[in-house]
Amino acid sequence: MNIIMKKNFTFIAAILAILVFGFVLSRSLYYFPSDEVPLPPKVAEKLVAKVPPEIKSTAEMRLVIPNIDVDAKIGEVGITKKGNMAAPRVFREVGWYKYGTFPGKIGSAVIAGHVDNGLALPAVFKHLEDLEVGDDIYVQIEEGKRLHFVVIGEKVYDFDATPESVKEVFTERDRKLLRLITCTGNWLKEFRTHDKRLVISAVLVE
Amino acid sequence: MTNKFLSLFLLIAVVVGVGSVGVQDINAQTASFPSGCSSALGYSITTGFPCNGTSTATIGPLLGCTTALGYSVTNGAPCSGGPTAIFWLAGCTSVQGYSTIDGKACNGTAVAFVPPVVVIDPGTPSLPVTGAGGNAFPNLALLLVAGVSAVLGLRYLSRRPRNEA
Repeated sequence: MNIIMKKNFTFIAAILAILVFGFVLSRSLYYFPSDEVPLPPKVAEKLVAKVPPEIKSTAEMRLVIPNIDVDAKIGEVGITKKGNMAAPRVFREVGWYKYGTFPGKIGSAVIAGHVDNGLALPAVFKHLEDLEVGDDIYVQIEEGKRLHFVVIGEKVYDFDATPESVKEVFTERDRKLLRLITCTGNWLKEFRTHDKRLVISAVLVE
Repeated sequence: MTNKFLSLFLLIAVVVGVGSVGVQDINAQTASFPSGCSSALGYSITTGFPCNGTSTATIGPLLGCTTALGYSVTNGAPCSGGPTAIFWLAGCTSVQGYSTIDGKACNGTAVAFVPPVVVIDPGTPSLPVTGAGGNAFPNLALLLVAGVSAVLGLRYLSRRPRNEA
């Protein structure tokens, strides 16, 4: 009886060890928990309608930045329970803030991407800080339809900047803007995040 | 002794009073009207007959009433035109919205009270958390431990059938 129990225990432990390894590996290299929360349906349906009706699907959206070798799928991200813009769930992808402006429309379309993954290896926006004024950024909206943006500047914010102080990132509405956000600066162990956020601004070239 | 009687009397009066008001409310809210009527006033929208069940319709509002709800302030009679007062029309569950029977405003007036939809705009969010590199050391340690365990586990699983055979 004891031998059977011991064998079963070893078998379960072996399976668990493999699962844990797989989980840690995927969390470190691939998957990032975004903590995104759903908005109340009435609010969400009002806000999500920001995808223009002529866009049938956002599944084909891609962000292309030739100068820093970025060619990434654009997913949709919302808001976390703490009130932050959610981050993309995959380190190699970027996330468009779906409650904001759609890329190419008047206003600020905001896209976020990770700077590094759970093993400190480069993620999609590792070299975002290398972008310079005048560099090209392309947003592929649909197959064959590409928007051309040009970098016009960058700004660094504190990680805990209040929504009021980062309002311009999301709400500037005098041009067709694109904002790319990633983490920068030093790692804050206490908060488990970097202490700064880099925001690159680009404008649509008609 | 007199005080005790007085207290008892008052207590009974209060209980009966509250009870009768409750019963009245229950009666009022369970009052039924002919098909197509949300009160005893006017005509049925389905049959065209008077809603009060007689040959002559009562056209409201009644004296001392502004709507079909409640009691007349002049004579205390039910404003519904029927034997009991109602506090919202039949086909309504509150004074909000419209009656499901005849489409009249549930508050008894010409204009329905529809509560405003409260929209909580998420407004401007804070900036996102877009990096996990600082977790590299604990992740590596965990990965190492889990990796060794997984290798041992795999080794055990690969040898298991042979042992059992």
